[in-house]
Amino acid sequence: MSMKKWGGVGYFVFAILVMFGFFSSNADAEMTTSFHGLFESNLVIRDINGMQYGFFDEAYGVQQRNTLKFDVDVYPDIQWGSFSVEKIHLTYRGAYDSIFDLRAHAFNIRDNIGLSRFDYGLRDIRFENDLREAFIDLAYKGDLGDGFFRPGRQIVSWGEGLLETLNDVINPPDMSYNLFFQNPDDVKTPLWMGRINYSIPSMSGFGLNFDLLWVPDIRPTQNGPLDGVARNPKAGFQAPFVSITPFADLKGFSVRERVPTNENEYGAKVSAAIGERLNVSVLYFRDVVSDPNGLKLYLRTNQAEVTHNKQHVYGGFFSYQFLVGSFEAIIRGEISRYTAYPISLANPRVNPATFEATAFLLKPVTKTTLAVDKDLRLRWLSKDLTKVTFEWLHKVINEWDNVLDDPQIDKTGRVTGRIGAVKKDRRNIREADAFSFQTSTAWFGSKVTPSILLACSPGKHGDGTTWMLKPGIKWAVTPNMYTDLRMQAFLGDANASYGFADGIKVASEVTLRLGYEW
Amino acid sequence: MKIIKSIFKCIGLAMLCMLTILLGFSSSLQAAELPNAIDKKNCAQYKDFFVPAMYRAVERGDYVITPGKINFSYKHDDMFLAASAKNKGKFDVNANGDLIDKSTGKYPDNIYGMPFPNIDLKDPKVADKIIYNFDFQRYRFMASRDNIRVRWMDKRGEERYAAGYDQRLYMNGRPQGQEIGDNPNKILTYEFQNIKEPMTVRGTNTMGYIYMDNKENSNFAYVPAIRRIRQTTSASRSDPYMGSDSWMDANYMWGGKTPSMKWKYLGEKTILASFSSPDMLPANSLPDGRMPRVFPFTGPSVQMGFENSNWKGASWAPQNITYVPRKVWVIEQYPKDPYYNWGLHINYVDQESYTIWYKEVYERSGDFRTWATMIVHYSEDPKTGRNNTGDRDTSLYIDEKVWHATSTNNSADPQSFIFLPASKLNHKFFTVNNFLLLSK
Repeated sequence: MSMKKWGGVGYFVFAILVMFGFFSSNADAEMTTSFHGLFESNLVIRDINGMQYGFFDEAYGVQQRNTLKFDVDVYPDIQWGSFSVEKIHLTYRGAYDSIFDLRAHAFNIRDNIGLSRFDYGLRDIRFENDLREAFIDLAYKGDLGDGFFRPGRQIVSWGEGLLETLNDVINPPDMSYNLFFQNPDDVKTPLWMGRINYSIPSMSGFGLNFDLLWVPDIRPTQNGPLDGVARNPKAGFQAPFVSITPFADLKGFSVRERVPTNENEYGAKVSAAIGERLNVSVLYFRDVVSDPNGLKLYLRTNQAEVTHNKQHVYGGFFSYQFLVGSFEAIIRGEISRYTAYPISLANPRVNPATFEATAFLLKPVTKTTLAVDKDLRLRWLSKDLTKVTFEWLHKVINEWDNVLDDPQIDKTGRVTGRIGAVKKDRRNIREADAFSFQTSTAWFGSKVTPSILLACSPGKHGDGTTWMLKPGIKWAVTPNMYTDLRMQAFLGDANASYGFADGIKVASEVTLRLGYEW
Repeated sequence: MKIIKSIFKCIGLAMLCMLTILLGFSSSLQAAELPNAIDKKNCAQYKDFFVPAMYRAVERGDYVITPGKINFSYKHDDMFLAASAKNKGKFDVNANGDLIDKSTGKYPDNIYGMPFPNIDLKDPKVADKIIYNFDFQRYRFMASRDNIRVRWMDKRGEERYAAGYDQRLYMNGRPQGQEIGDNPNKILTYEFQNIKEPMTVRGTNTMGYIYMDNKENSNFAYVPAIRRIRQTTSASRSDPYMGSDSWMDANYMWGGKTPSMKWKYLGEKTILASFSSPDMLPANSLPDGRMPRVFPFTGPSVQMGFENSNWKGASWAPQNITYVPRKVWVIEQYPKDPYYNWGLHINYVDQESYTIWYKEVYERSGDFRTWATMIVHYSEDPKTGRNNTGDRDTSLYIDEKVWHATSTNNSADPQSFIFLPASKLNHKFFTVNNFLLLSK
């Protein structure tokens, strides 16, 4: 972390202390605190050739992560007219993944690459020690409406889509240790930012809310050691994404993340509650793209550089409580338009003079999602409601001019061949769809809660459909202890190389978690 | 012949009167002569003092009843009763079951006191009126913040729990000077459940608006795993809450819209009601009117059977309870909505305080399913005379089909109050903005 960033943190802590001093003169203050957390141990076993080709016949332990996470909240009960200090919130997470000691031989990762703080080495994925969230809420409730100002390190999520990121681009994902078995907020990287949220005074059948963000803390999508575990299906974080372009090709390269940390992000969202049933939001976000949108390979020196440019994100989303007679469902939708979305080239372009390769083109992209949530009474299954969600996602690259402009690519956009020792089989495709079905319910008085996610990417251009299946079951062993068994499997055409299926290969994983919470 | 007939008539009338007096007296006699404990051995003698579900529980050995006396009068305070008396003749219930102001024919914006202070059992709408009195005796609290712990229990003990705050704001039933005029969306009740622990459900918050008219409720849920507020369906008010044996409409024994049900008066009865303490607990109100919650027990709830190592009965049977005879009206409740999760409900409503002591709930098929018990204590502010009558320590829901129980418990907390004035809890608390603020 640069001096500039540490200066920001110091300022934040100083500001809190000053405010405490300022408000502590209030004699009526009744400060309360809360402290809750969990300790859990998680084992992930990977069947590297997929369960459909022999059920866990070639399986390896790829994670044994032990996590301590807790929240500390302080409610100072400090009021000053219409203004108040509502809350100070801290979230800590620390972890140790013993798999890097138990199977040390399987991992050929350097301890610390050290090129930038975003280039993770072994130490970064073996241990975690992070004050993930630290913010203070300064609230206003008065004649002009109500609102709050939240400075600090935090997570903000915009949107309605669950299957794929549309407008939820604010906090980049942390894919350094896991992707599928964590809560979505656990795989987000919290950022230092300032947030102002304001609602106008209540009106009959209409409400308006504004959310403003300023983010000086620029971070990328956090990957694990790109030059270490990539393409090693028996170890590491990335499988079954072992062939995700372009990282599959980075083994052996010295990879450096070049992140424009001197930039700022900012955005605004306006949400309207219209009547009692409809909520509509429109938004804009000036985004430093979290995913790499530039990758240069210096083939002579075996160096690679990942860069991140800026783009505009325009979007909107809605939810509507659909009621006809006794039929009730929630209909959700979201649209996002990116002006410079990184499209990874199926065939990186090499400059013969410099031996530098370009792996991305920046293109405008639109993503749309539509979803229905319905609670069903399925008495044969559970005395509880069974929650069901269907979601459709569509992605289109709006400018297709020269993405396919490559003599090595066939008419369907497919390219095969080798880069060094790596076999490639990829395709650029302009439009892609995905569908998902999620359901969950409760058994035995909610002591056991099963859930299932099934997603598919329909086949195109001669490739078959690919499926992701993710069943899970959680059991409350005691009021404070729980265990959780989940699996993920990728089924269908293992050679499909288009859209959302690109990179999703045959590996299956199962995880067993044991936790204590309070 | 006329003289003989007259003599027979007189004798008949006299016998009828004596029989009536005897029946009434016998009830009070039995109440006075209840034993120290009623268990499966002697329960048959006292069957009339039980609601059927509870009698079966005692007969099975799940419960042992400890009758006793309370050292206070369990009724509403004088100010509330005086305000109720002034409402006599002002309100009525229309054919749809809506409460109306007789002078306007519309739902009244604010009534303080019970709308029907004099109950006439011959009135065809008496059941609706009793339930409206129940509603308005709750509304008199204006707003409440409860420290809640929901406990899921099987035969062996507690399986899981969720704890946090439950905030409610009533826009009707407020005393003079405490009205909240700013109510453009005509909301009757605001609700906000703020789950604090354990960690994996922390922040799973819900907020709901119940409207004064027949509009469906608006519901929002904060899902901490995705850090977003989402609209949820309103039909879930009759479905299990977070997988429990209770549902939102059963909160405080009845928390739904009164006109959404058909109500029918079935009769009167004397039953044994549950008090967690035989003594009054003083509670000194703060200068702004807030009344702090004091409880006769420490910890998150009244002691349950599984927490008593000497207990042989049901794990969910409440311990150290003083069971006191109370006269109740028996009120049948049936949902108008054909898709409501439940069928017949039988409520046992206290004739003095309008507390619903017990509720028996049947499935739509007619099979008995769940019974609920209200456990209370009595607190009073010695300065103002205000009290917590009608409020609960515990609502206990027992599902006899799957032999499982859930209790919703209030307990002591520095932030827990009733009679919260608008300056401390008003409609601005229940905005989407504040929901977000309190949810992470």
